[in-house]
Amino acid sequence: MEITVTSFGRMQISGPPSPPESNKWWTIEASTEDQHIPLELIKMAEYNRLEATYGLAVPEHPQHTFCFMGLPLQTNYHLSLPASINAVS
Amino acid sequence: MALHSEKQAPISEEKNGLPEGLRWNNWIFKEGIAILYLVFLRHLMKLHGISGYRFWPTPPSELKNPDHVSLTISTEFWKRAGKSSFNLYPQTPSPPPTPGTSQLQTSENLSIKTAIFDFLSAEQSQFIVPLLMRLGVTNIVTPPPTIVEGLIRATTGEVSLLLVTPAYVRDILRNPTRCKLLQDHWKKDPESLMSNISKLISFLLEDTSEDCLTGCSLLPLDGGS
Repeated sequence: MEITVTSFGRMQISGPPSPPESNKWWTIEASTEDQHIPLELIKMAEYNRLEATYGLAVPEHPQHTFCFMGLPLQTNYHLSLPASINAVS
Repeated sequence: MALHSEKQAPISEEKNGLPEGLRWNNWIFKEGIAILYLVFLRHLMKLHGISGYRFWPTPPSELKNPDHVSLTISTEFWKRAGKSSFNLYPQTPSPPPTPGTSQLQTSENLSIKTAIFDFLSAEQSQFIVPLLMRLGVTNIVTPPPTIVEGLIRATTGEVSLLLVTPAYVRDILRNPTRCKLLQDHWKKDPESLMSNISKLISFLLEDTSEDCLTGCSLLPLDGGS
């Protein structure tokens, strides 16, 4: 199984007024190339236009404790992980 | 990510969506995100050092009311973390250097195979770890309790962690040069000498199943030898 990291860096998320430092997140994105996707999943993925592209983000500021899953269609899906997850649908 | 028909959440249970969708999502969680999480932590631990442990996922056994997504990612993450060769573990900070000694610590994080894990109680750790560092053992890592829990479960049976134990410290002290270093250090504070020796001996004798203190020249003789 192989993944390809496509980006890593720090970004500032715009939001409610707060010290700029508290809006900074570390983010990482990756994808899995087609040849590494299991055959039994490939057809379904093509039919449903699913992409094996996903990312993680963590708030840089320690005082942030909330987590959410960020989908293109939904945010604020609470997880028991200290990371935010985003996956392309 | 495969979503429910109302497109408000990912499919995470078979009864709520297509089995293929669940298989796809689980594959993304296990073979994509769990692996990416380790890569991410390699960067974050380098940037944040010991405070980077806050980014680690809680081990499955410690999750309270776990949702499917968290449980799947956490379980797979810890399975992989136990076998990963990434440098994820920052060294425990050294005690302040004393005159005439050099600081041997580097800032490189350590891998699971090159680190010596300090899972001791806080009281023992505060005494034993600085002592080992004085003796030149600098590759010690002291993760917080939840990470310890995850590592113990993740490495049961397959990978054996090198731990700071009485047996390990006894082995170190069988080296006469290291013993001399310790004696010289303790001589600088004669008032605490007996209490330090007593604390060390009680630690070393905690595990007396084997060869005990043979070869450890801990106590300076009257002649100073």
